[in-house]
Amino acid sequence: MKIAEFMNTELTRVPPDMDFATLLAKHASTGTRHTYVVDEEGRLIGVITNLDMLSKMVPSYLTSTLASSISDGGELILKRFEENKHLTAADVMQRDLVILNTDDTLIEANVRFHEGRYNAIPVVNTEGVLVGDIGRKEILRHIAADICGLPGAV
Amino acid sequence: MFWVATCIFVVCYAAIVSEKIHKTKVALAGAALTLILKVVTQEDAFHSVELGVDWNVIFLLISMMIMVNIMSKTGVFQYVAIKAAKLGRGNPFSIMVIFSVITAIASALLDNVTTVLLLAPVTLLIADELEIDPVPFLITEALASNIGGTATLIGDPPNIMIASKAGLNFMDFIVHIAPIIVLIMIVWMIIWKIVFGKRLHVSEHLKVRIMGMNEREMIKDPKLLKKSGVILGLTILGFMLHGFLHFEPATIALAGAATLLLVSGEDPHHILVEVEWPTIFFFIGLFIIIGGTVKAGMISFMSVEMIKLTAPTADNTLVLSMVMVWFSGIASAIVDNIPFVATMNPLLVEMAEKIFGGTGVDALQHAKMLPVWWALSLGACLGGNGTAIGASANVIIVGMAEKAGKPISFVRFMKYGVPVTMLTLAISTAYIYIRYYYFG
Repeated sequence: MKIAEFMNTELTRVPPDMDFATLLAKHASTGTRHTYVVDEEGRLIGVITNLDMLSKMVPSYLTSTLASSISDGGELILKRFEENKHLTAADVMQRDLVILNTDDTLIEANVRFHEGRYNAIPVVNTEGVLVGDIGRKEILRHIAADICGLPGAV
Repeated sequence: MFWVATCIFVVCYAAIVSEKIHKTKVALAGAALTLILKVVTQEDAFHSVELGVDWNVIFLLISMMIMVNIMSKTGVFQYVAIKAAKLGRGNPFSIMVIFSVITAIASALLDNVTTVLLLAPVTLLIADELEIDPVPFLITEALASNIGGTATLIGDPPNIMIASKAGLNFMDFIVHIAPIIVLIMIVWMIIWKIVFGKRLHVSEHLKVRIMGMNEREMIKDPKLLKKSGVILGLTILGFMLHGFLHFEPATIALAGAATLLLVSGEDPHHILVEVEWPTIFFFIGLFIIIGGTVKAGMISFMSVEMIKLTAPTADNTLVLSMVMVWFSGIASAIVDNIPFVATMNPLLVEMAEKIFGGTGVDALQHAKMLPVWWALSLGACLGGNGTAIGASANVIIVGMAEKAGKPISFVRFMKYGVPVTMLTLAISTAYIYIRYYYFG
């Protein structure tokens, strides 16, 4: 079974020069797990996760213990937003990517998730163009319903 | 063997200074070569007091790291820092002074790196809340950490090494080094008042943010805090009495660490994994390399040259002491002060034996030799303030600032570090001259 047959194709794609504020608003408003940064030909060049965006909104030095000493913290987050306004999607994205190809198999994808603890992995075709992504849930659903034949899993 | 040992020493030193290869790898490779080429035997390296690993230093370091690792889990450092900021009523300069004093005291009793690692995040948060540049505060803390660490036997690795080599005890450092460190802190803070007093001002509404912080949230484990506070207190008391009790400092520290491990309920796997093993193995490798240079005669050769240069006699070591403060200070600003002191220690032992005759405590603790050891301690510890790479605490502060988006350039660090180093070395020089030569 090839992953192209059950991957998710509804993706959020953004150009590398998208500004930080627009990116934040897009992340907050879409239901997708990741935002994919693609070039003009649709080739994948980076991934931005919700965690990447969240980590840009808190100071790097702040631990959960230290955070508990502050009564509100709204100003700190706003300050971080102002400091990051000059950033673009290319500045925020992860460049060291783990990808799957459309002809990779279910078991390869399953093992990748075990190895790297990813939430979702992008899928590209032979030209490097982003065509979909696949998450833990899709794999689990496919195993339960299509391989193990459990009717309640669909 | 002279040239083999010298080559290993020079190549390792160059590799450590270049920072192209991790210093622990260099030290262990150098130690392995020293053994393989039979510069020293394994028996020498592992069991000889003169040529081998100084286990007193190793176990003192490991034990203190264990105690600090357990104590850092209590949140007491962050509690004290926030409480202190509130005591300063949110006034930036008051906070800078109070934090410097806290850092200096903590560094005198614990290790410098842990102190700045725990206090720097609080400093960054307070600077963020006050909407001021954190860099002057962070650099001041690194400098205070190195100055405070100089005050005691356990405050900085060079002092641990010097004490072990010269047979000095905890109270020797309290009597001879701590007073000058207190004076240095006072003079430095007065100068800092002139430099920063008028520049650091914030509006009242920002100070309110500091007063609104809740320090009680920092204490995560009050029971562990009580236990570790009592055991650390007893351990420090043990250090004060170790000369009287005829225990080596490592014995006291090991007893403290073992007791705290037993009563804390902490998993030893978690605590021991946080011991800075690379530093420990760096020391072990270094001791073996230096042992090779001692056995091969290189240190003896250097001591003869040093005697020619400074012309010390059994009655007068003034020039040697003065040279030692500045030579150690400048060298430690450029290279790691640990290998520097590891080299100087056997050199001074050779010199003491040549100048005063005899061996052991009689020569090493001769009244005219003691100021030389204090000069080495002050120079090596305070010299680390000169540059961003002069001491581990500086490296940590620069790294944390960069991660927080407030990079500190090498030159910016030096703008603070060099004047403070010159000031502290000048005060140290005057102190040694007046106390040990003018009145001594």
